[in-house]
Amino acid sequence: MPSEKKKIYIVDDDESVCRALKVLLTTFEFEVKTFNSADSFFDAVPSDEPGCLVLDIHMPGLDGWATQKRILDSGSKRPVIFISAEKQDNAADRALKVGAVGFLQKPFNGQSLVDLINVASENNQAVDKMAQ
Amino acid sequence: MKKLKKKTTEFNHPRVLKKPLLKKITRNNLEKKIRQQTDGLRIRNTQLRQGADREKLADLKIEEQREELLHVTRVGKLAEFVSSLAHEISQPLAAILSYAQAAQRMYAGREPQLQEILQYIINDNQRATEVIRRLRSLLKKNKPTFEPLDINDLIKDTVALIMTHITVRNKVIKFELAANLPLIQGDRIQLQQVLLNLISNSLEAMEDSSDSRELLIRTSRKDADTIMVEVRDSGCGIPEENMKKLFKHFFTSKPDGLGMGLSISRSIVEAHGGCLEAKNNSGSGATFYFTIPVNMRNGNE
Repeated sequence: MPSEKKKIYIVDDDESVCRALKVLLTTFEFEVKTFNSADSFFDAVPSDEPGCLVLDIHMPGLDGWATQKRILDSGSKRPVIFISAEKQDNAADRALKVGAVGFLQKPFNGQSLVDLINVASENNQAVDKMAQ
Repeated sequence: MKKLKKKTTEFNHPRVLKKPLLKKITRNNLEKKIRQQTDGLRIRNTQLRQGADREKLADLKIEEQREELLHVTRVGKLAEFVSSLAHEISQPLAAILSYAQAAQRMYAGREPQLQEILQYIINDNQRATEVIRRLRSLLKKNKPTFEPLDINDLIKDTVALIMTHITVRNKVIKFELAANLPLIQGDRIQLQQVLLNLISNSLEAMEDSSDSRELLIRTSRKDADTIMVEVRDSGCGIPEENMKKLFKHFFTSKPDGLGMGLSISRSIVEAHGGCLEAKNNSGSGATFYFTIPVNMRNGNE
């Protein structure tokens, strides 16, 4: 049975960052889809479709916080990792408070992101196991 | 239809005078009137001129205030601008880092020269990131985080940081650091900022003279509760008219200066519970001196 690649979704209004992260995460054997807005992400990806979300905080329209709220409110268990180019002192704490897996300040190490993604999927598997 | 009245000519007027006399009187009257009116005009002219001068002065004052307001706005806007700049630059920096790391993985174990280049890219990206970080922290109004500090050690460490600056300018630092000073409560980084600011100003003041080379840093116990730090140079001194404005925002005697150093230094010292002052030396040069309260929690010594 061919091992399926883990799916990663990236939502960031900066196209440059989207493209670069896609290239990087692909070298880690992830299957990556990118979106420039939360709305285009929600339009394309059903909430029960598994896959970790790498979510930029500062975006026009629905920002990162609002997006995470919508995900939570929908009952989705999708793990979210926040990223940001802005320096907010309490962003990391706030991220954890709203149920995110973690927060990374741009520019960040690729390995740091991958570590968080792996933590996210382990958590999810644990949750799934508990549900069984 | 209206009946037109017939004009009374001077010939019909009852008080008409003989022609030559009339001419003389009329001419005198006219000349008198002209003189009066000319005098009146002269006075009016002077008043107008004075008014115009006052207006010019008022305009100049408005212009000055406008310039200052613009400057303040510019600096305020500057903070905003730098903040959004930092945000904007972080995006391509993030992308570059990701690309370089992706390429490293793609050629893992191969192409050592390429690997080396990729690492250089990553390192320089780090440098740029660090600049952004420093820019951002500059903008923040930092509340000091206090810890017990040895002021003499702090001074020596700070000077060590810029020793090359000093020797390259062919200047010499002399220390007169009192022994057995009690610890102070201070924010290490912020106090270093103050010291660097004062030392750098002193070095600049001594730039033009080759015979004033010595910069003196002295610490002493002013009283039971206070430590005094003095930075003394033998440079060009402070012109009397600048003394009052020295610590004000945007005051600078340097053509390209921002004028923030001393005002920031003073706010830092004040946030520590001390005072920063300046005075001209009796000889040449100036001394900048500040006080810092002793760390009470440690008691005396």
